[in-house]
Amino acid sequence: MCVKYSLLLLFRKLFLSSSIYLLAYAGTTAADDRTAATAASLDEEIQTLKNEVLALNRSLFMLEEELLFPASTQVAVFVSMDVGNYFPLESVQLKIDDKVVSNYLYTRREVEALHRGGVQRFYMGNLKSGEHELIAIFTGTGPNGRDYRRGADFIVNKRPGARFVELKIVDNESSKQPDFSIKVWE
Amino acid sequence: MRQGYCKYMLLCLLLSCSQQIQSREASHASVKDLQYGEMLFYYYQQDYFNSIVRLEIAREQGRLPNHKDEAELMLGGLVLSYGMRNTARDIFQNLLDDDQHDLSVHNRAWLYLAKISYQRGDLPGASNAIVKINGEMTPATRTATANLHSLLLIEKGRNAAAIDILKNTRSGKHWAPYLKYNLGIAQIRNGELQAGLDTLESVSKTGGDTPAQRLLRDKANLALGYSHLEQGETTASSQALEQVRIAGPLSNKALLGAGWANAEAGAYAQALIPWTELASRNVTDPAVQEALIAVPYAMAKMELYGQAIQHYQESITALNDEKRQLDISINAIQNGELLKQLQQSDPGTGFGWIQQLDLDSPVLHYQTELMASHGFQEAVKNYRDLLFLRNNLDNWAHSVTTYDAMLTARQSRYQSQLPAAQQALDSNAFATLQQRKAALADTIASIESSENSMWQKKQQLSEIETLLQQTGKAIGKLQQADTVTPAGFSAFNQEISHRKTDIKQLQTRASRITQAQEILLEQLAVDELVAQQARIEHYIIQARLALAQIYDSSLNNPAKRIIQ
Repeated sequence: MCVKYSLLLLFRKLFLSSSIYLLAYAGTTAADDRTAATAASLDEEIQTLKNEVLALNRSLFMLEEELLFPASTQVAVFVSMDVGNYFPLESVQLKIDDKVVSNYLYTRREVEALHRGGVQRFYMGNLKSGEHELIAIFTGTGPNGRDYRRGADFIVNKRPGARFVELKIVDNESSKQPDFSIKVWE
Repeated sequence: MRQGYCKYMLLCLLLSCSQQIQSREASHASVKDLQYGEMLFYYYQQDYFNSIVRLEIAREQGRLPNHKDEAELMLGGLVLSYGMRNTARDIFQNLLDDDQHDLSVHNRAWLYLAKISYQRGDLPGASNAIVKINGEMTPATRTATANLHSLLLIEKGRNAAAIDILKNTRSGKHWAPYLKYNLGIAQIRNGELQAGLDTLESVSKTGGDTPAQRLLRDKANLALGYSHLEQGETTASSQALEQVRIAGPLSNKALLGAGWANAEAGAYAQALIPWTELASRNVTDPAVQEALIAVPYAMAKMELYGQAIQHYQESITALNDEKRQLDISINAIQNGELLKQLQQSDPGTGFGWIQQLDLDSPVLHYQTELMASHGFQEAVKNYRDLLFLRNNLDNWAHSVTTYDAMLTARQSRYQSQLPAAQQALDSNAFATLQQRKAALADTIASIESSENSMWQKKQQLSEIETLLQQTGKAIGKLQQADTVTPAGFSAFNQEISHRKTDIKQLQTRASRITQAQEILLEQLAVDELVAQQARIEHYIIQARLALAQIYDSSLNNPAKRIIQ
């Protein structure tokens, strides 16, 4: 009976997950209180450190942008997806005025983020005022599992002030094919 | 005592379920500002660090005109996910202090504040915040509010009030089974046993094949099984526990309970089936350790004393082996093996979470048990975040030096172009143009006869006016550049120098805090494993005691079949 009683208690304790054991075996000693206090104080310090490192990153990214891409010549190209069911994206290549300026190979995680509405900053550079030709080449696996490669080209008129260009992969429901559209943000 | 354990167990199940509701609450808003979408790109990869940086930069550059309120709430949620509860609390409090925001923003801010208090264990603070939420709500806010509010009420023992909330909350189709599950647990804790069992029964029959839906069904069946067992309804208990997936994460607990349901009914032979299966599994799990002595216990009950003795002895050996394994793991931790493992997994992503580790390492032999401890889990998360921060600071320390070179290049380019610009400024091109304009205007005034000649002169005048405008603008720019740019260079220089100092100071602090966190992490891990050793020791004592009782009983009653 003694064994059974013990087992009954034990099995119920076990079912409660290990948290009850922490209480039973380790939860009440002075040493544990000290450990908990250390953990709490370190957590506060880590929170403050995170805050300061975030602020530093913010300052440095902004400084970098001002130094490398002054607003007068800055152009930023973004990639996004609207649904994107017809195009499992693998990579994008961008050419500006016939010169390759960026190649990017996507991870599964990144493609999922794009599917869910995320927008990727794909390229940052400088362009003189005037018209420039941008060519984007998208590769992936298209309908019926075939390799898919599509290019889209367009002219951007660079005016003073930063210019943001969005390359958008859009599902075309009628053709069951992906479309590639471009939007220049003011 | 049994009742107390049962209630505690039900609360544990409830808490584990609520976690899912909270983790799925984040909403997906349509992107109206590019930079908001950029933040989402990182957020959806659980890269909280970079999503915070991107959001703050976009906010500072005024690039979120269409997501103003949403961005503040999002920022609060992001910093909370990144473990910065203090900053999150300040952000939500600021939103609440601003009367400009509408009710929905205030409601969500209160909900976040309630969660922060709840995470800190400040239940009164959480209760105060949650009751402030009112009026029309989105389904996500309504569900999360009902969930947290009911949890708080259950913890206070106000189960009836929790039931009332859960019954009267309209949640979307997706969330309904989760709230229903909580309702079943609350009903059982409130003594409404049949109602609770019926509710859980309906959850266990919910459809859907996603991992989360399957897990919810397993949890419902497990809770049903143990609730029936608590009431002595062993057949119903067995039926529910058998529904739990044999390869699922709750399988060990279900097998242990199924054995006990049969044992309570006196069907020891039946009890041996799940217990024997369980005893063959990974012995690091406490349920398996339990099964190791439950098997011979059932055999002894069946008066198979010889087999019982043999199994008790084998179990004692297995448990002693496990104790030695724990010793090896503790030694490995003390020799830095745990930290080595944690450092090996990539800290470059900022995910702040332990994901893929080498489970063959002796320290990670007990990973599941260690990670079940909230304190250890939090310490690992902080440690991984610290590794990421240090990595980030080291990268900046390296790249900031290139800024000097860039600035020098820009400065020399400026200097080289300065003489030509100065010459343009000094020349009297502007004055000459002005003189020509005045002369032409005079000529036009004096010409009256020839229309053709008049048109040509007016054309010339218009061209000169355009030239004058352009030249005036260019001169203005040059004059501005002459005075502003050198000042800009010096501001850049100063900024770079300040940031270099910041990086150095932060590197020193991050290094000190990391060392302290390493000591804490090792201490927590060792404490947990020592506690496991104590539990195993307890099982060994129980097994030895049972053995002694069998021997003792056989001495007093030789008719008992010791040898089978």
